[in-house]
Amino acid sequence: MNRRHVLAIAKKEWLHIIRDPISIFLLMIGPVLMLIIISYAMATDVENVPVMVYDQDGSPESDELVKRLDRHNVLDVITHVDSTAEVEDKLKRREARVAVLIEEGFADQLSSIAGLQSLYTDGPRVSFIIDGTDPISAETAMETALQVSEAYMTERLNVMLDEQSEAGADETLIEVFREQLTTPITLEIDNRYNPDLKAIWDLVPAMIAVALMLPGMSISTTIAREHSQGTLESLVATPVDKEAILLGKALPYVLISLINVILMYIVARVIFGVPFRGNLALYLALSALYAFATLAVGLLFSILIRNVEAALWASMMFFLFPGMFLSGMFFPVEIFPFVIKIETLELPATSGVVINRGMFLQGVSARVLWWNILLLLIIAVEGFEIAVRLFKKRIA
Amino acid sequence: MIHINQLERIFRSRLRRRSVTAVQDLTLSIEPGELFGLVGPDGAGKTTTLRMLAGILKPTSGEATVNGHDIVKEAEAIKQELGYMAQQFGLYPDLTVDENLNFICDVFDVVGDAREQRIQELLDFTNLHDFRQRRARQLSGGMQKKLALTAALVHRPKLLLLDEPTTGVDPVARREFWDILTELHASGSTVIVSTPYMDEAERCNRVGLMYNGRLMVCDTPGAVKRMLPGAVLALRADNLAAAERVLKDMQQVIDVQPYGDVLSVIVTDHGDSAAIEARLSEAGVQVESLRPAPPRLEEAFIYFVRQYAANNHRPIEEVRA
Ligand SMILES: Nc1ncnc2c1ncn2[C@@H]1O[C@H](COP(=O)(O)OP(=O)(O)O)[C@@H](O)[C@H]1O
Ligand SMILES: [Mg+2]
Repeated sequence: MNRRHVLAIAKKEWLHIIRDPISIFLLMIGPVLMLIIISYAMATDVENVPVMVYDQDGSPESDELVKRLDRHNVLDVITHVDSTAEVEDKLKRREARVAVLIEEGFADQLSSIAGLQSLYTDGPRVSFIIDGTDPISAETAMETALQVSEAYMTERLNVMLDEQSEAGADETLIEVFREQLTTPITLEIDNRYNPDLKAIWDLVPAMIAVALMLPGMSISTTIAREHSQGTLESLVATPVDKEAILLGKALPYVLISLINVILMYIVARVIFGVPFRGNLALYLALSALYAFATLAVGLLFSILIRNVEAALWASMMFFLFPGMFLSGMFFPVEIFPFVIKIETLELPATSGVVINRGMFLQGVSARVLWWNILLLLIIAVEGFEIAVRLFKKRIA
Repeated sequence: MIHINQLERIFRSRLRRRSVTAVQDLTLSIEPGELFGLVGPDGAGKTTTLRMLAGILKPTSGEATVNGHDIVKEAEAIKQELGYMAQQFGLYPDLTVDENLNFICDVFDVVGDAREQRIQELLDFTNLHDFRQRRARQLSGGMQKKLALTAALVHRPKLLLLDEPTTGVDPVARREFWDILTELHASGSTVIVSTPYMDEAERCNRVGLMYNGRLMVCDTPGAVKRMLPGAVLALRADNLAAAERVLKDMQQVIDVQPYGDVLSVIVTDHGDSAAIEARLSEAGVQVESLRPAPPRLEEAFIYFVRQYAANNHRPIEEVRA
């Protein structure tokens, strides 16, 4: 391969990029913007979910429960209703997203040993309806409602047991109830609800890997663009070799990917406060490898599809959607069936997510990541080799 | 320099329902130092032929060599030695003239001092000096064609393939362009140029008339014109449409072709003019003038196309034989 030819192609490709305002914007700002917007959208605390209350008990205890729900910043009690029909109506019209249904006897269940027994045999006299159309806020709201209710009921029942024992009830029996009351509830809540920022620490590094696929998507139109512009015919009529064309086209995008990595690294540290525990030089080297792997796949698309829109859509189907859903960013790869697991190995993003999380959160060494590094090497080298083989210096 | 033997190219549509034979049964040799014109209307197969010779399109069957290199097996060797100018503007519109030329020089390994010298020389030659910093997109059609020619010349190719280099260019620029081609030819380059224009064909030392993927006739412009049977009479009259209808039915008239306010009447013999004048006035057409004219390439071409269609699309020589 002739080095001058590679550089000549790289230089002209660089000029194409920086002279097209849309592509310079998408390539330089796009990934960082994607990181910020999606991370914020996913991580924003759910607040003030509108709640309605259908209180058939009308007791001080039910009042207290409603007050506590309202006091929590995730929930906002906006109205009281008087019938199940009204509950359904308001849910449908999305005036409220959560309904708290308190049946008659709620207070009784909290005020006597018999009530406590009925709580466990017949179930509690309080239940919830949640509008699940927005799953993220729905889940948060539901967990909050459960946690608040259970905490209040536990507290209230403990007070009742204290009073019973003061009134001279059988101590051993009281202890049995106390035991039954506390154990399951507290455990469940502690495990489920975790309000600190750990979720975003997990999300941001994964998001960096996904956002870094934008240059790969962008390069997937490069041959199609030359084809429709009419320059491909003249290019393939020159003696420049195929490897030089493809490598030269990839180089500016590698540079852009590295600039993006640095920008996103800064955003992750400064805006999202994500720690970085790995070796920065190793991280940059692995990012370049990752960029090469995505670009090799992008070039393959470019060679196979000689229509700009089609190439863009095809690479979006390959990069963006599976990148988000199969890479392990949202769902752990372990939950997928075997066949999909094999497919996800092919995705550069899967390894990119592992490497980014490893470098940011765990500070792992290259040796720990060897499997993912090997996968990226295979994708980069094989992808490029296949691209060179499929690319013909001919038209039609 | 170029030997083409039974070359054929068929394009099959992706659905495999239709196929187009763009070039068929093409046999032709072009010697060093020729200025060869590949002449024909749109869709004749000129571009397809030149693309195959440039090594960027595989023939369906047949073979050809360019400078002794096989167009399929040694395509890359051909690309080293050839100057190819595609019909469509092939330089980068977002790059300046200088950037485009430097790119082409890199790719053809024109480096060092030789590069600037060569670029200067070519810009003198094509008069593009004042536009070096201009983006190719902002050049006029004629200047774009000249820039594309400049790019095809950077590595001093002995052989040039130019695909319709003057289509869509104003008449002044066209003339300039042909002066450049004539100069290149005079300096010893072999030039193969495709064109739909007959006046340009007249400036070639040899022309190949292409139609429907076939090479109908191939010879010097003079010889091609002499192949037109009989003689040409130029008719001026008050009602050319009526004259054309009348003349077409006459036995001694081979072909009638309108050119503006003149009707070219191809007859079996000069001596027929008296009979023609008589027949015209009989039909009520006022003849202004009817005199012998030298045959033009265009008349020959149209005549050959009509013959070719009338002979069920068999080439002229075959019909003669
Ligand atoms: N890439 C192609 N795919 C399908 N058909 C083509 C292709 N290139 C040319 N043709 C067809 O081949 C015929 C000859 O075209 P072309 O060589 O471009 O003629 P010319 O250059 O003389 O105008 C036309 O009918 C054209 O539609
Ligand atoms: Mg053409």
